[in-house]
Amino acid sequence: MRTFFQLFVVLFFFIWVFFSPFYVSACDFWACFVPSFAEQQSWDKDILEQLDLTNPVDVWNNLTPDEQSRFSYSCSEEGICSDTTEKKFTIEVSAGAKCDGVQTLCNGNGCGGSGGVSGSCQGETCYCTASNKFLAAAGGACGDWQGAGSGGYEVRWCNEGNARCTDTDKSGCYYQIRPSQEQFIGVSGPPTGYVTDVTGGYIPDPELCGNEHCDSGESCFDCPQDCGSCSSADITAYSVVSPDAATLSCTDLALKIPTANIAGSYTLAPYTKSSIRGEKMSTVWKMMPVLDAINGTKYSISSILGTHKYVQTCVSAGGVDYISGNEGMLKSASTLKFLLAYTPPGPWTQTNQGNVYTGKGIFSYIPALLRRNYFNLWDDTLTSTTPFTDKSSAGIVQYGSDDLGDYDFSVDESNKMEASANYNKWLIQEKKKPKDSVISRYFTLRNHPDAVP
Amino acid sequence: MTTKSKPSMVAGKKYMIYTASGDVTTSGDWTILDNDALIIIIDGNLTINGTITKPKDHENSKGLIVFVVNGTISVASSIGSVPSLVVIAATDPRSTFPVPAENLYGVFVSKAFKTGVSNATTPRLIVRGSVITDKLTLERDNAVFNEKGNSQESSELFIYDPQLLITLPDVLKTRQYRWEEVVP
Repeated sequence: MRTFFQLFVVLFFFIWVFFSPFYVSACDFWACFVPSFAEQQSWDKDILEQLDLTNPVDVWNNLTPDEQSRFSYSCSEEGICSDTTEKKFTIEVSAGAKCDGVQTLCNGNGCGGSGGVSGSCQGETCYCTASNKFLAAAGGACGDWQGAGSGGYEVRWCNEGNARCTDTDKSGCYYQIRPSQEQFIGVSGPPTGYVTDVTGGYIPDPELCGNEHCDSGESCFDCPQDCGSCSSADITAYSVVSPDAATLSCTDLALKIPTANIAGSYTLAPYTKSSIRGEKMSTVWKMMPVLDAINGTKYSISSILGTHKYVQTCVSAGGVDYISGNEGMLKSASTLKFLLAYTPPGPWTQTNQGNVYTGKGIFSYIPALLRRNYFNLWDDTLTSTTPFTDKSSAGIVQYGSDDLGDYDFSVDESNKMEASANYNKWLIQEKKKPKDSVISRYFTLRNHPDAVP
Repeated sequence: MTTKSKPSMVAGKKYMIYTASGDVTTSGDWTILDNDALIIIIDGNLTINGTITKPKDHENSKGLIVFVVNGTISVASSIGSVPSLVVIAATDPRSTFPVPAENLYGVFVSKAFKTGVSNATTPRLIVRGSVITDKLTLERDNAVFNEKGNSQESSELFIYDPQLLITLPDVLKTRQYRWEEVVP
């Protein structure tokens, strides 16, 4: 009977639960035993608001096991530690706070590490630079010197506390500059490209043209923006050829300019620029700079003419007679003239097609700068630069092998110009070798290394 | 010394061989014509006193002249050309320039050959053909014409004539060679 009663009570209870007007859902049923989500969130906040949120670890350690079973946290680059599993709760931490036990805010690598690619730690404070998520707290030093910058400067950015002085955000900052070389110290004025306040530091002078200082090595010729415009005058150079150029005076050589002039090739120093052809095959440099308005500027000249033998140079400054020398003073609104004297090349010989043989030596001092400075030419025209037409070619050039057997095609004593024998560079040394009663000529071909086969 | 004008050909003969003993001097300018095949052998010296040329309109003909001299061939100073002194820069668009006409044409075989000292009006000697000699003396100097005379052109120019391979008698072309090329 007792058992039946117990069964009745249980059955009545279920009937009451499912069929009574006070029916509640299963969810509401469990809510009778577990706080609702809203209630739980409010309760959790009440708990956490009493905790020190500067360190999420403290939050975690102060939770009960039951709370820890419902809470978890992770860190974001935004400095947010949140429960990523149930989305029930979010902990926002301040700059410099620890997350997951280590300093990890805005480290560029997510949670779990300190420092990082662009962050740095000083004590318990995390400094972020590139990401700019959290800026450094007060007390930091100026940034490090950033190496040679524009014009050789080194720059570092500072403010009080070094806050907000980052590569991308320099508002409110100033810079310090130190020179890359000691000799640049002491020149005022900031470098271009920096528009913020300047306090302290050195401003180097890179000695570049355009720095508004006429530095050593700069002149009105190559840096007029710093040194001002130059005075100027013309320089003229002549070349004359005379068999007795070595013995004639400069005055006599000057008399040969109208009749014995040739086109020269010159090197002018210390300043030069493109020249023009003047009268009597002269070379003229117009408006050459005169740096010293009183004493003038000294110019010198040399020649690289290769067709004649150089003998001497004469100079005339300010319209006076030529005197021996290869340098002179150019003064403003005056003239400076050079006269270079040469002896003509000696007579020389040339062949065209066919073979050339000699049992002894071949000597023909061909002017080096001729268009076709070969001893043996190759076609029926004397100025063609196209070798080996379909109807002709150069022959071999052969010299002897005895004591006088030699060759030379250049006035240059250090170079016999074997390559000038002919286009093929076929220069042959003959060795005579008697054979029985018949004279047999025995040749050894001495091809030039880059001879044309 | 005898003075000789240009010998003549005989109709029907392939070559004409003339000989002379003692020194010989040419007389007048000689022109080598199509049918000329002259071989002149001199036991003595030869002085060439006039031009020996093969005109342009005959330059591809069979015309031939050969001097075989048992002595010295001397060219008179009056035979020659004026150097052109044309300055042609490397960048000059002209790609061709005709070879100047020769002053002497032929084959010259001798113990010595002297080109002759230049004079002011005909300093440059141009020879077309072949010069075969034991001693070649180059005496020309364009500088006697102009101080710049040697700066552009040679004082002597020897131009090979491939026509000689055809026109020369075989006996004058025989030569034996053995060639051997060595490692450069």
